[in-house]
Amino acid sequence: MTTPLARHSMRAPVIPSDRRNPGSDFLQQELSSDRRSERGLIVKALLALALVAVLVYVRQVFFV
Amino acid sequence: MNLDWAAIDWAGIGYTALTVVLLVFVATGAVPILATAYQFLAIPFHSVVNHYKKAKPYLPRVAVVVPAWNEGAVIGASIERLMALEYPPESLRIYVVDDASTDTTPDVVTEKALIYPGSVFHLRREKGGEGKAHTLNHGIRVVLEDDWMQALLIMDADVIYLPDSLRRMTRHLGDPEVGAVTAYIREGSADKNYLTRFIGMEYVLAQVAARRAQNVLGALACLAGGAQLHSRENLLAIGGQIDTSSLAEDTITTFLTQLGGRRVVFEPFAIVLAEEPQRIGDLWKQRLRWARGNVQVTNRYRKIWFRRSHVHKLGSISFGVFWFSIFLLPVAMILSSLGLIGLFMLHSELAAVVFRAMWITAACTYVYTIALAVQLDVRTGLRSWREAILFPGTVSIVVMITAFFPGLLEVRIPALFGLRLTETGATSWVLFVYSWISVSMLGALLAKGVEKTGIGRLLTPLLVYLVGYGPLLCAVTVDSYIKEFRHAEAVWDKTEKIGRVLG
Repeated sequence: MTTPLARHSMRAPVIPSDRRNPGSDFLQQELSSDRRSERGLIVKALLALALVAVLVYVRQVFFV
Repeated sequence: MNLDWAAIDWAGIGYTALTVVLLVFVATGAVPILATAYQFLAIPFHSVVNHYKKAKPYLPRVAVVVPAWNEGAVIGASIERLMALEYPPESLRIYVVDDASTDTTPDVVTEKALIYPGSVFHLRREKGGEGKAHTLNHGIRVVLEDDWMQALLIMDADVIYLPDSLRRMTRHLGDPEVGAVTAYIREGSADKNYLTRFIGMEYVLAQVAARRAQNVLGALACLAGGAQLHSRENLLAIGGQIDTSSLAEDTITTFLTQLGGRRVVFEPFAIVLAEEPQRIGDLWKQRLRWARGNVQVTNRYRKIWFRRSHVHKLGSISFGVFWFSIFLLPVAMILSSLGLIGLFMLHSELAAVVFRAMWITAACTYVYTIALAVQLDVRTGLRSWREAILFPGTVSIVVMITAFFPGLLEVRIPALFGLRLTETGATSWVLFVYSWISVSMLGALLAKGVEKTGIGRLLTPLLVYLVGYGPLLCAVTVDSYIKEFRHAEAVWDKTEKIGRVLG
């Protein structure tokens, strides 16, 4: 079972001492971070779709 | 029972048949719009369907092969940037293949080889000018001579890899199913003009956005020529060399990798800066080479299109539709205009209905794609916001407004000034908006034509903002059809680079 302290230490960012040999922990953290940030695509797509919806609404209300 | 031929309404049948044909013409214009919408709607699925779950920390020994012909102005900085990559120095070797350069390239590379012994190598070809693929193969033959290389990075001499880009690419090769990885080529000129900003926006749409969708759908159209990382196994599987018979060696390599059952992955967080043309003449030369390459690829792989395979997804319907939507876009545009004008001439009420349906779809797709794209690369989106908005061209936006908000431009706005469109004026306006999508390519051609004249400096950007960047690329595609049809000489017209990229 993961303790709160262990969870915290898992979240603590790994800062490599040598940027050219950053180590597996850092690389895994970077990979996980990039993977997580891809979830933002859903929000971005929804925002873009919302803009389309606004235009369609304006059309339906004022031009049809 | 005898058929009374005289009683048959031949005129009516002819009218109906012609109407159907014209409707099909219009429908061809809708295909690229729907394909774009489908592709961009697939992008949010990249949040779940991506390769990150199979990627892992992996830093293989990478041999970087840099083809260089008269790159004296840029090659030194490129080598320094590569040596400064956040990547284990003992796992990185740079092989500059000097393609019989006549400038300072050999001196610069030799100097760097002395500064970084065992890391930078100068390979000289005495017979040059055969093209990038021949130059690359010279380097690839050398790196394959021993077992040191685990992965091969093919790049251009003038591009700049951001420090973390290579390690972000190599992590995907930790999965043996992946044969090659590509990065996001971002337009990186320090002295941007209207054209480089358009190109920057195009790269956001075509790479950061569209290639994410291709990741989702499992088939990638092209590894960027300036950023393709291959595993050693994949390089050997595709023949241990780059195809030299076409102008699209990077696309051929991409196809060969996938046809061999290996995946190709686009890594959006690996960013590579590139210097792109500032003049339409140079852009035309570069894109004509690419477009002619695509004609060759389409022809070479004619047996894979729309044929399902258990090995790859290049034959899937979605990938085929994407490919041909770009490849045949000018044809679709012309047919669409012909269909609309034909229906209008037939006095068919369908003309207005299908025009509205098509351009409303185009407007929704345009707003969605641009709104999504600028969020995917905010930096480029902010720098190129005018080019993002005007990507399809000012006139096309007016046509979209005409379809989307009926009566606004023809009735409501003129009425504000006490004006009213005459019947002739209304007919002329309708014919103009119906034909615009084809006429826009002529506008792009005009923009290229006036570029070298005295008024070109002012008029060319104005024309491109009016007709749009997309029609400019479509005009290049038409030129590529003509050149391929005539079997025009396929020369390797290298775009001159002067080191305008600042990382």
